[in-house]
Amino acid sequence: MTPDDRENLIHRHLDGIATAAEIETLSHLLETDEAARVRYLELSRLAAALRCDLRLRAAPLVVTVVPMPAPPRVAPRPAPGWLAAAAALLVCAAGIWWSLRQPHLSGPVIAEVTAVHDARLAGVGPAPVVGERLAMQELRLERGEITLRLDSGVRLEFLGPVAAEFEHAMRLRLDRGRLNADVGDRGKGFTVVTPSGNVIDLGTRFAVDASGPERAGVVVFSGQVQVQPLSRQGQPGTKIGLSEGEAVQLVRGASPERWQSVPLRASPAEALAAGGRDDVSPLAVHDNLADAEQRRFYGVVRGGMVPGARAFTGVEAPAWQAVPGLSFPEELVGADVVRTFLTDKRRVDFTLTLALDGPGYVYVLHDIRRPPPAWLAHDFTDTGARVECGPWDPQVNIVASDAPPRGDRVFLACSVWRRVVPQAGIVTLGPPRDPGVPGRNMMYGVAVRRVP
Amino acid sequence: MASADDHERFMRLFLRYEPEILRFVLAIVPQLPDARDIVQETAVALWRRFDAYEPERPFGAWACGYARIETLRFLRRAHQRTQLSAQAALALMRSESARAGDDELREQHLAECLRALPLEHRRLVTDYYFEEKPVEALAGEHRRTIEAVYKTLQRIRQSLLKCLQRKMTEART
Repeated sequence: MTPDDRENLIHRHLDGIATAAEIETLSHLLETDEAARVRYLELSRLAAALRCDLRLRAAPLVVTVVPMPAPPRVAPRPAPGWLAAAAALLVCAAGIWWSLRQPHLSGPVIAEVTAVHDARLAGVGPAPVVGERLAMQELRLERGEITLRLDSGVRLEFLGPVAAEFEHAMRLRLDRGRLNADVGDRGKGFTVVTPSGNVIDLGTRFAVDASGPERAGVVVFSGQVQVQPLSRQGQPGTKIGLSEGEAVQLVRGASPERWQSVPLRASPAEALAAGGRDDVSPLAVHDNLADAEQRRFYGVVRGGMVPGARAFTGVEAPAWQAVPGLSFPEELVGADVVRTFLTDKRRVDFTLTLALDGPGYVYVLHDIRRPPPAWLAHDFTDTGARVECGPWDPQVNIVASDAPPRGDRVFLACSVWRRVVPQAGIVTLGPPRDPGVPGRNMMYGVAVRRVP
Repeated sequence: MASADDHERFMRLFLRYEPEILRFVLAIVPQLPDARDIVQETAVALWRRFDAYEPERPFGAWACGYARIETLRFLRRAHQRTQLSAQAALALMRSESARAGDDELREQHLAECLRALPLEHRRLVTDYYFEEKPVEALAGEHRRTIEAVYKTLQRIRQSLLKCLQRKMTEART
């Protein structure tokens, strides 16, 4: 038996994967060979120490998030002129020293906790609290959500479970999980590295979803990012730009694919929703736009239909509201909202396909000023319920004289159409208007209520 | 008959030395569930004989004597095909008793060696040894094959041992 064979045999036994024959061989070896016993004991004592020495567990190797005291806040006092000059020189020297160090930045990154929700960090005792400052390198969020503000001003919201590591203050490796990033002016260039590709911020709000296997989703809520797919061997490929309202899936070794159904949380400001991909995307949305450069996404908000729910992707203000004097239609409340694109309002060849994972109801919220397109009148039933969408600025081009303002804003009334979907399947919606219909109209809204 | 005070004293001593006993057993029986069973049997045996314990003797050494008996009993009774033979275990115990008692220093150095591991390896050590995650789960999380995870664990142990031995040698010279 070679020393390597002996070594392998010992390790296999320590890991509990040795076969009966291998254990018999090892037993014989240990009975007869002192050198083998010494080596076995060296390795088994090491493994035993790792298994049961609580002091090793308490060592910083598991506590990768270390609370730091808040920096003292000292009120500024007027300084004599010579002192101010000396201080300026000192700051300048420190700045040069810091900038020289930037390319070599490594080790913990300082971050302040700005929000926590049911967060459990692996290897850390009590969850951090808002206002706490942390020196962190590795982040392993087993569940819940935590928002951190780095000293650079970059704000990162992690949606568990997350496995991530700060390579330095401007570069985060996201191995698993989701994050929403608001980078701000000083954080321009902040990069998120995933196993499928890199995301380089150009001053924006964006999100990355690495919760699925072998692919990462990137969605831009405002500003621009560059995404850089990786080859199968891990070599960075050509960067492509991604703008507000666009989303792609990065798959290692392949070209980026358009990501059409993006699970969003039910807030007016766009942000990726928490939860596993399967949790939040039982409803898949696809349009028929053939443009290869087209990368826009549909926000899908699970259970998000309530009065005040944002109506469209890329436009923050207009929301679904109750008509004054009427209550919000009860059957819509709690339905999933698909945030459509306002710019599709004039397309007469547009189709939107909804893939449902089970039985349910599909609702189309149609601009009541115009007749329903033929497909809507044929496939759906007018429930008689009405909602409003607004507020709109009276100057926007969908608002015409047939939509009088209320105060200084306009609200557009919509009819609520319903279609019963008896089982999992595909429902195709047509264009928002038939060809030749005059006048301005709003893009329709979509909601889906699934039957449990 | 043991009193309530004896019981409390025993519990305090046992809880304090339990990691040492477990570590002793794990050196011979590396599978954690088996080792925990043996420690449990050891605790019962120690409590039964606690009236014979002389407080001036180190409790750890006294307890490890019983752990040795229970370990051999386990190996003989179970005679499991996944365990070393009792003869091999006896030979290991003899070699083990000849080693220097430098646990404190070893732990200190081992902690330093752990900190010096690459982050990915520290993460694996944490998951495997501290969080006790099964290798199948680790393979999924780390996007590796099961065989690759075992190989990495093997390399980590070898690297830690090398680091530990270097530090122990430096400390002695």
